[in-house]
Amino acid sequence: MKKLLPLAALCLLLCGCGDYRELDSRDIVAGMAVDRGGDGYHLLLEIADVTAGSDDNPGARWLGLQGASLAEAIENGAGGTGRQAYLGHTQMVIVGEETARGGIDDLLGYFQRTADVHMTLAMAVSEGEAADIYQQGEADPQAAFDLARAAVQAGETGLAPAMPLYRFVADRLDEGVEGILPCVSRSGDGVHVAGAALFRDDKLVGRLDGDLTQTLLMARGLLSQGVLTVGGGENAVSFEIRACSARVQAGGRPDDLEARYDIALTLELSQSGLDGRLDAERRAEYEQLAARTVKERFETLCRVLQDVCRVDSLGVGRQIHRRNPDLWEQVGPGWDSAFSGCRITAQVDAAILGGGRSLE
Amino acid sequence: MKQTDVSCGDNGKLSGRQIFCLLVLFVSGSIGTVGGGGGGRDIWLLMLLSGAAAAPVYWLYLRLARARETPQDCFQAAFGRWAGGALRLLLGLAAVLTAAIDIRLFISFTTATALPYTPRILMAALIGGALYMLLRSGTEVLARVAAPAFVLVAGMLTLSFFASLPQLDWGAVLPVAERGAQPPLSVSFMRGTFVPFLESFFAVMVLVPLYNRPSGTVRPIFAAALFAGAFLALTLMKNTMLLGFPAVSQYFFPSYTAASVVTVGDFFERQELLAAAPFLLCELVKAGLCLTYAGQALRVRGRRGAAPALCIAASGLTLLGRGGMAESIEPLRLYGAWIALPLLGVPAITLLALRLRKKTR
Repeated sequence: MKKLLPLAALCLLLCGCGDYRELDSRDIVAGMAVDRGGDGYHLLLEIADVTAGSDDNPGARWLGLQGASLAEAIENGAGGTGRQAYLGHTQMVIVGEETARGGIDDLLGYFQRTADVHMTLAMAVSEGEAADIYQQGEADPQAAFDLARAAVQAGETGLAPAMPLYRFVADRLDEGVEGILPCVSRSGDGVHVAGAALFRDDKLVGRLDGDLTQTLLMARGLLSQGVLTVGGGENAVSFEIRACSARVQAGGRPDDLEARYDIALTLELSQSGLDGRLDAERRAEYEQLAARTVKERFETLCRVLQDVCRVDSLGVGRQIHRRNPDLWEQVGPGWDSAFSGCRITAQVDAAILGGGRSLE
Repeated sequence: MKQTDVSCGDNGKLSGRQIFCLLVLFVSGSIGTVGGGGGGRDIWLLMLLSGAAAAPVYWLYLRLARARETPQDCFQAAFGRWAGGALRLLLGLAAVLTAAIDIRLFISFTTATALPYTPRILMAALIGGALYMLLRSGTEVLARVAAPAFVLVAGMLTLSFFASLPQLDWGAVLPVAERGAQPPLSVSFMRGTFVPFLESFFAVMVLVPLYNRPSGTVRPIFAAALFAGAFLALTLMKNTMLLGFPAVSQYFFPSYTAASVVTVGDFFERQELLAAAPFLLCELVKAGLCLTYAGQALRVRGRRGAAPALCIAASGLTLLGRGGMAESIEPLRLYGAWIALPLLGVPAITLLALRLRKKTR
């Protein structure tokens, strides 16, 4: 044991901060907005300012940067402030709409290669310029943190996809599936995370609203909770989604592809326009209503994906690739057009557990 | 109580359990890097296959280790004084090189994950110092550490696996052998997953003579090959299901990246620890055993100044070349291709030569 003690003591030397730097020699980037123009990249960074605000609630300042590449823009910032940008605590990167339409492989490459950046970094696509989103919240000292929290919450409830960097990269590189990112938009009362941005390869090709995003997440098995509202006006009925599972069977012949989705929902009645009773008859009626609504939304989603955007965000191709690689070898090279001709159907089953806290 | 009583079975010898633990830790020293750099979707299957394929190779090593009174004598007995001595030296130098690559990965990993600007020379000196302590203490002390270290490594990797369950995409390992068996076998098997089992030559040659049942079957060795193969296959499978195989193939340290994206809750955010600590622990054990073998092969073990000289040689080798990650990882592919010759070809030919000589007599 005596011989082990010096060894253990030596191991202690391996710990600690060999590159110790004072906090005030670094700019801790909480959030980043990226827009690309003809003259390069325009970045707006939200820097956590520990010298302002309180211990629990540090302040923030904003730093606008420009450069021919992301790395150059960030270096330019260091040259101006004398502090090195640290991206290890970056919560969210917002990409401008036009930038996303032009392709974001360059951004993905940079964030993947930069050792500071955590692979769980959240990315989102803005409506219009990305900088406008953060400028909207300039008065908020934790705009990036609040936005990241909003994105997580939206992801959990199905308002927008929860898509950390590593998962988007996995979809981007995999065969037979296209990536999706959450949308961020601003309105009079603030900034909202809702809807999905659809990508073909690395380029933005379309958007989905909240309902279709929720349906897309159901079909991809990425939704576990949220609120499902069917009908409208006085007849609107809301359910809490307690569980959601999706099973996909895809196959067929190269000229006659078929995908069948079985979506099973477990719901609890949350709010009803009627008297609130939940007897057996009404339960069956609500179950049918919920299943029918989801099915209709799914059909609408398929039309948007197959006919309008022509992008396989559902991952039908991935299912074929995984389960039937021989078929994929034939249809994979021209999957974009093959996907548009694929017959996609859904069977939706909804089961209502009860009325939450109420017995009825 | 005397040290020998506490330690290893009988008279400073190693128990089967300790040999099992040390070998599993030795093979697991490669878990940080295997799977990256174009490993492919079937990397987990190859690891499983490597564990099974290691059994006959271990049998070969075992026969060689027991062919003479000390394992190092067999080369001279088979090929004569000069040729045998040259082979012994070659394998000794290969052990130093393996230890150097191991230390280089240790430094690169630590640099990439924790201490970005610490000079490499300082890191190499610290690790060389830790290895010196290991060498000076001897294999018995290393064996005594092996059982708790094994529990720690297995526990952390298992915990990491369970923590990542909710985020796994179970279908990501499909389709299996999409482009047939040939491409993964020709590249990833011989240059990747099978290499740690081949490197076990150094460990087997050091450990088997210390086994406390000199004539019994060394079951722990075969059990270690199968266990390590299955355990590492499970880890690689988890990495693929978490990150997707194209992404896994892009990263230098896929196990670390996979652990870093797991989110259990706000109370425990740094999941990377579950991958980093076992990796570093296994690397130390591996480098320690390699240098122990080198000391035996170069016949300097026990001599004054031998341990520091070996540590300085291995640590110094790590400082050659530039310090980038690619410079650390890229040579591994070349290394994986040629290391099969000394670690598979030489033992096989030596055993054959020994048999022929025995028949001739």
